Amino acid sequence: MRDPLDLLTADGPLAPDDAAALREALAADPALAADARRFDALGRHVRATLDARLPDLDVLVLHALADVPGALSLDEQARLTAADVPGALDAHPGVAAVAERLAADRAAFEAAWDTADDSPEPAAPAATPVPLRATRAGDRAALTGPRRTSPLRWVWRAAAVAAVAAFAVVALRLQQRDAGWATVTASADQTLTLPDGSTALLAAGSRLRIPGAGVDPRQARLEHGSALFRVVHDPSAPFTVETPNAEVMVLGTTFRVTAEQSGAVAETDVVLVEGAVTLAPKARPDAAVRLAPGTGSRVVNLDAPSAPARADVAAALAIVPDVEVRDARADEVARLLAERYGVSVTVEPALAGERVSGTFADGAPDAVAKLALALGARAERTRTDDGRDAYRIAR
Amino acid sequence: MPSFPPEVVVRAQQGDASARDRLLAAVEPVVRAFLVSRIGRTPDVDDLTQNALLRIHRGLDALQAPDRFKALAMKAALFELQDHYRGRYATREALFDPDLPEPGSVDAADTPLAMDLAAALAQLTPHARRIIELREMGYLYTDIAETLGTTEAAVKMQVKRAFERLRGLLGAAAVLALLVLRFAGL
Repeated sequence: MRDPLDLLTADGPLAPDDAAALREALAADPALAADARRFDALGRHVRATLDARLPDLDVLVLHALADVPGALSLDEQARLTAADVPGALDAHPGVAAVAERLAADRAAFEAAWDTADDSPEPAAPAATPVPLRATRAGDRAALTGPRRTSPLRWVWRAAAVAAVAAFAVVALRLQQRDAGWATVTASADQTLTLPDGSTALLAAGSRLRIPGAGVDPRQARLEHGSALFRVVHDPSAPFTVETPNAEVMVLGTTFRVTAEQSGAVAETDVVLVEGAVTLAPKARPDAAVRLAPGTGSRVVNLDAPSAPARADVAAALAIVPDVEVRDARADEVARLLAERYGVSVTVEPALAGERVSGTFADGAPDAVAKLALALGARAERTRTDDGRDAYRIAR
Repeated sequence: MPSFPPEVVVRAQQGDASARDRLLAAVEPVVRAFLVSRIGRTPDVDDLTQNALLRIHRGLDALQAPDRFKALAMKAALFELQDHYRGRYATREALFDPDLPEPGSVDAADTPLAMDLAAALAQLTPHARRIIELREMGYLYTDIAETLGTTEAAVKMQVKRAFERLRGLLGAAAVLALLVLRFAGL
């Protein structure tokens, strides 16, 4: 087994086995656990002080480009002015190191620019389709080496250009109102701001009921599907999430709840990312279990919750997984995107066998645009007969 | 070096798809070469290149000075690279629940007294503190090592030494604070 100190001070997430081994080591050595807790608290303290001084780390990129004429938009200039970058550089050696790294990155970009081929004007698009990229399964060098010489073409013929956001914006359908409650069904992954300022990220197809005016705002009812809640901290007013068979009570935290019903079996799964929650079957608060961050529990019907166990926090945060592929056929990627976003995505036959790699996320328009980009093709958007968005990728 | 005539940029901004495609096609190898120079020939380069081109595509319409296309491309590439450095373990799980009282403490409110974090942090060398801050900003040890011109092993060792050093400082402070509280009858 790896040295617990190695695991405690590791960078990045631990493999499930290592995380389990570390928890066992800490359970067996209370003194080490206490020291580890203090070190963890120190890390949070450092993050908090950094966030307080420089909540928007992106301004360091703006700072690195501040002397480049025309590099910053007016908004970006305002952001940079508002941020106390000099103060952060003085107070935080880590921030100063990032700034130095960015200066080196900028120099590297300049070098890449200067050593690129010089041409008076980029070549006009080819009149005929260019040959497929020379990629073969397992040929990693071909994937990352010099790419095709054909130009990339972008054409959006949709009636409106979709705004690119962290999560696709789609239409909400309010199905019913019931004594001050509103029901929201997400037709695609959707972030809602709840009445008390908490947020709920709903996976596509999930159904959430939220309180309206005159109803206690510190509650929600997940009728079906999956939601990632980020609850505003208020120890005086616990936030409650109900599912058909269970209740989750929180003080201020980030957690994921999944409610599924199959026949007579109702299941509620909860994974806690940070903070503190209790989980109990409905009408059985005596059977509540308390979750620690990184653990999850399940309630089946009205049975007592399962013993809290290590959970896949990364999976909980990635409430609807991105489409990530390596050396996959273009038509297969199109199929995955169509399934992921509930749209139609087709690729012209000549491109179907092209190999692509990448992570496709951030909503259908952006994901399809990226696929088109990778194929050196155009993406056209229309509508299917049943009203869904339809994308066709062709050269 | 490549040139991007302002008139081509203007045509692209005015909706000329062919001009836009030419710009993206011409800048792609530059962005790719830059990323390869910073993170090596990894599978992530494809993703980052495509994301950077998307940033350029989105930012093109807002570009005030058509002769500053290079600045737009550089900004997109730098943003993407920073997101890559900081995004890789954004989901690092917390081992401990910050709302639970520390084992052995009098109560949760006792924690600030027991742990003088700022003072303990000040005891670290600037080099150690730099590494701790970079770690908490999301950078992996390999990136920290490259940033500071050292080795990954040296960075790991520095973090372990910081842990041991803070172990003594914070542990002693906790005991001292507890003794003070008990003598004060609290």
